[in-house]
Amino acid sequence: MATPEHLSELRILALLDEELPRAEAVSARSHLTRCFPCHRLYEGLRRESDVLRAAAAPETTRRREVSHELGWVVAAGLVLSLGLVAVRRVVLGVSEAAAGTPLPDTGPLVSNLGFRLFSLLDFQQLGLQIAYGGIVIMTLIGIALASNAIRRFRAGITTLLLAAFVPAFSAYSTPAEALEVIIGNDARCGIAPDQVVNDDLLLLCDAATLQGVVRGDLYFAGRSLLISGRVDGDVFGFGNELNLEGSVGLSFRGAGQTVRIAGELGRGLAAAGERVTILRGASVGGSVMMAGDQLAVTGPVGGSLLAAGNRLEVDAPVEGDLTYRGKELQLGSGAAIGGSAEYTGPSEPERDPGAPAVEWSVPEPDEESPWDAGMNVVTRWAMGIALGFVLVLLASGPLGALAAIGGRPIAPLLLGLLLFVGLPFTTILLAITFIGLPLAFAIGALYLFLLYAARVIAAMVIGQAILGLASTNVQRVGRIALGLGILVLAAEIPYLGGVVGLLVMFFGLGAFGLWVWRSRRPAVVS
Amino acid sequence: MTGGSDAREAWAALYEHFHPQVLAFCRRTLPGDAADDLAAEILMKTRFRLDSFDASRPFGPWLFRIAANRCWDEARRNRRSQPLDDEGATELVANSPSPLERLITEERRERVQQALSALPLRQRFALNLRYGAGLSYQEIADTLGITRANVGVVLLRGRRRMRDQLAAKGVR
Repeated sequence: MATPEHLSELRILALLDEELPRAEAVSARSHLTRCFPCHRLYEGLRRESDVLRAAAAPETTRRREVSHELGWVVAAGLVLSLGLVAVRRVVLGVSEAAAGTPLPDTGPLVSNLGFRLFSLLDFQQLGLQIAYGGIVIMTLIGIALASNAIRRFRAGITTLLLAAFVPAFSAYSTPAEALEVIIGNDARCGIAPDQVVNDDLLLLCDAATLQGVVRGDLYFAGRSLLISGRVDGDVFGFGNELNLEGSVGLSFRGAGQTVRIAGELGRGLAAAGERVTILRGASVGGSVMMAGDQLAVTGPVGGSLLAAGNRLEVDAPVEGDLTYRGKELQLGSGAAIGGSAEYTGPSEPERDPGAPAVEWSVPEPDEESPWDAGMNVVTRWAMGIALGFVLVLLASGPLGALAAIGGRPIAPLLLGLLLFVGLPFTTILLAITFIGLPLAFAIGALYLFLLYAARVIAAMVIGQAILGLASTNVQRVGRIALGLGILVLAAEIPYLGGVVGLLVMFFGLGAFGLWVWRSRRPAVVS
Repeated sequence: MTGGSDAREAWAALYEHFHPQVLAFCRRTLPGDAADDLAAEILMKTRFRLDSFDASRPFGPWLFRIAANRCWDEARRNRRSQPLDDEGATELVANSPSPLERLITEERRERVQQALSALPLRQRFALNLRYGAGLSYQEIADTLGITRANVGVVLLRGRRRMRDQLAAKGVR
C-alpha cells in the first residue's frame, strides 16, 4: 500500500487512461508536478502504455510510428541547426558592409572566416554563441546516438560506426599524425641553425626558437615563438609572443599578446593580439588582416590592409585598399595607399604632411534600439524553445522527472550551488591526472550543457505550475514556451534578472544531480 | 442501410480502415490461425448488423465490442483448460516498469506480443481492448462482464504479470 502522500499505481494508471473523475484528475496531476517518485511511476506507466499500444497495434501503423519518430528527430535537428545559424546571423549580424568589402587574399577558408570575425568586433558574443551552439549540437548528437543505439540496436550500430568514423578521421588528419612533433620536456624546444625538417612541424613548448629550415608548415602553441630561420609553408602560431625575424614562404596566422613581423612573408598575414606590428624592414607579400589594441604597419604590404582595433599606425606603402574600424588612425608620411582608404572611427585621422587622404566616417551610435532589444529577447526565447522542443522529443521522460523534482525547488537549489562550485573543481582535479582527462571532458561538457539547458527545465516547472501537468509533447513544448517567456522577460529586469539567471543555473544543476541520485532507487509502487 | 452504391463505398472505406485493426486485435487475443478467418467473419457480421448501430456514437468501440465478444467466445470455446484470470494467484511482487520501458526494438516488441498472448484471457482481452482498440473502462467492463472499478485492477495485474515474465526472460 502506498504511503498516504503518494498516489497508488492504480490511480496513476486511471489518470493515464483518462478514467479519473475530473476533480480527482486535477489534484493527481498537480501532485505529479511536485512529487518525483510518483512522477517517475507515472512516466514508467506511460512508456509502458506506449509499448503496449505498439505491441497491440496493426503492423502497418507501427511502421509508420517508427518512421514518424525518426522524421521528428531529423526535423528537430534541422530546426535547431537552422535556428543556430539564424541566431548567429541576427545577433552577430554579418553586416552588409562587411559582406560588401572585398576579401583579402590570405588564403581561401581562413581569410574568409577570419575576415568576418574581425569585422564584427564582438568576439565575446561570438565565442559564447559558438561555444553554446557547439555544446548544444554535440550533446544532442550524443543523446540521439545513445537513444538510437538503445532503441534500435542494429540501426544504432551503423550510426555509432558512422559516428566513430568522424573522430577517427579527424584523429588521422590532425597535425600529430602527419607531422614531426616536438614537445619540449624542459621549457625550450626548437630547430637548430643547421637542422632541416622536410615535413610539417608541430612545436609544443614554453619557448620555441626556429633557426633552421622547415620545408612544410609550422604549428606552434606555447609561450613564445621566434622564427629566425625559414619556413617554406604556412605558420600557425598561438602564444604570448610571436616573432618573425626570418622568412615564411606562405602566410602567417597567429594570435598572441604580441605579434611582431620583422622578416619576410611571402603571402598574407592574419593576426590578432594586444600589439600587432609589422616593423620597418619587414615585408608582407599578400594582404594583411589584423585586430588588436595597438596595431602598426611600418613595413610594406603587397595586398590590402584590413584592420580593427583601438589604434592603427600606417607608415608604409599598402598596395591594395585600406579598411580600418577603430578609435584612432595615424597615417605617417611614408604611407601610400594603392586602392581606396576608408576609416570608421570617432576621432579624426591624424595625418603627417604628405600622408595620403582617407575617407573618414563616424560610426553610428552603438545604442541598442528598442527593436533590437525586442528581437534579442525574442531570439533568446525562440532558441530556448528550439532546445526544449528537441529535449521533449529525445528525452521527455528525464525532462518531466527533472521538472517534478523542481516542483519543490529548495533541495535542487542548495545542491545546485554545491555542484556549481564543485563540478568545475572536480573537472580540474580530473584533468590534472592524465587518465581522468576523458572523464573531465565529459563532466565539463555536461556541466556547460546543464547550465544552458537549466532554463528549459526551469521553464517547464514554471509552465506546469501555471498550466498543470503536461501529458503530451505539444503540451510540454507549450509549458516550456510559457515558462521561458517569463524567464526571458525576468532576465531583462536590472539586477533581479541576473539573480534569476543564477538561480536558474543552480536549479538546473541541482535538479539533475537529484535526478541521478534518486533514479538509483526503485520507484514507489502500491 | 440499403445496398446503394454510396453505402457500398462507405462500407468499403470502413472496411479498409478497420480490417487491419480488427485483424491485429484477433491475432493478439487468439493464438493460432483462427484469427484471419475470424476477423473476416466479424466484419461480415458487423455489416449485417449496421442497422442496430447508433450513429450518434463512435463506430470504433462498437465494432471492437463485437470483435471482442466474438473472440472472447472463441477463446473460451478453444481453451477451456486455461483459467480466465489468475484471481487465486498471490499478489505479484511489484517492480519498476523499467523492463518494459526499454522494449521498443522490433525483436523485443515481439517478445512483448508473446508475453501479451501468454496472459490469462481476461487480462489479455482487457489490455488489447484498452491499448489496441482504445475502448474505455466502461466499454471494457461491459464487454468482459466485470465491473468498471475492476477494469483498472485487471489491467494492472496484466501489466505486472507481463513485467515479471519479461524480467524472468532476462529482458531488461
